[in-house]
Amino acid sequence: MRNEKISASQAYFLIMTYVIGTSLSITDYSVALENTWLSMLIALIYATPLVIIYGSIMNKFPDMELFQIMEFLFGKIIGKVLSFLYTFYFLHLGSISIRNITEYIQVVSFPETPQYFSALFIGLLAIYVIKSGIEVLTRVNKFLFPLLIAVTILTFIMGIPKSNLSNLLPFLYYGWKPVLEDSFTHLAFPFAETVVFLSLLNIVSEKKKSSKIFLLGIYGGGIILLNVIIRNIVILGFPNLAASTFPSYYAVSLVDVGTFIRGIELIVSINIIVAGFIKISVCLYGACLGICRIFSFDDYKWITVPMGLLMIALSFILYENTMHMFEWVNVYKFYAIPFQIVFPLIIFIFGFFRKDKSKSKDSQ
Amino acid sequence: MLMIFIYFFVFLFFLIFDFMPLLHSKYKGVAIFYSCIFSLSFIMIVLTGLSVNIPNPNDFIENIVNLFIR
Repeated sequence: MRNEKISASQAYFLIMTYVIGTSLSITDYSVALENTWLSMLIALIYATPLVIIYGSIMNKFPDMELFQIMEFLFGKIIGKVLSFLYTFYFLHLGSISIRNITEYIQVVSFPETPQYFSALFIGLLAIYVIKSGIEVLTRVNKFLFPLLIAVTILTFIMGIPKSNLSNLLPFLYYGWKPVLEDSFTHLAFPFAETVVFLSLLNIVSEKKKSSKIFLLGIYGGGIILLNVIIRNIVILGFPNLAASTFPSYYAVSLVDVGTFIRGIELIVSINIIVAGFIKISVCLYGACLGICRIFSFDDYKWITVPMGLLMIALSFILYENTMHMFEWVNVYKFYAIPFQIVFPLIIFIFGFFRKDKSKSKDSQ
Repeated sequence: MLMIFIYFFVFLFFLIFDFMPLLHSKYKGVAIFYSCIFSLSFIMIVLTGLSVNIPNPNDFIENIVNLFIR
């Protein structure tokens, strides 16, 4: 069906951008407060075994993607049911990401511009890039990734004069409970969302490197997010941080160097929109591939347009307002558990025994 | 209404340049699926444009989560 190949470096750069994705704009600081950076670090520790499981699944079945693996392990009927659930999840995740970006654009940049307008352009771009092929997306990402890194480092350095390290204190004032609770949210969004790459990593030319790719991807993305969180905390502090809807934008809007470098919050907006676009495109790819496997279509590119348009249409009805979007993260972290933890774990266990069986057959 | 107007032209564009070539190809199954999802998306956008309440998957998911977790 597919004759596409991407390199390992392209894959882990794609995971890094995907992890940064919409988390740049809607990281929740209201639970762990000054210790949000710690909850992000703990989430990274939680995510490590999880992505090793994802990687092990891909290493066990290097020539299959998630949907094929499920059909191989659980049979046609259960496999297709699970494929349908995952396809819906990827489609829904893409819609959520579109809505996150359009809300961001409306709140910080264009309050008078309706969201359907910005959603249309982001959606069309995602459709175009996936219709061109996943290789194009990875090349675009490799080209844009240095920009994301440069902007993050630049804003961190330029924000130093405005920083107040005492904003990081008090340390663990309310104990470990809120930190651990928040780390679970960070695990579900964004680290474990990399489950979508189970439908993609079989096209990596270097086989059996999936665990390494996943780990490099989430650690790279995690470090960038950590950098952003610390920057926002030390510049804004509390209660300013809790009061701002999109802290990254407001933190960087305070940064100025002398009287000649101002208004650099625009480049943060570019960062958020670029990373969000990559995330939306990966989700669209996963959803299209899922549909292809369920209905046994030959090429995912034929159905990119209707799936992309459905993703856009779905994004309009998801939330009533911006606050509803932020509150829904508390539902999302539970909703995502089956897709991010339960099903991959079952696939991993079944895959482990299936391989043992084939080994025993070979030895006989 | 402006939303419906803008999206109408977007859908028309894809109908002519994406769906028509598919319709003339051998992939009949894909064409059927395409037309179903395409129509569904268009209906959703028209209803949203007319401010009609459409069942939201988030509410459904929230109910399920509340059933199990809370």
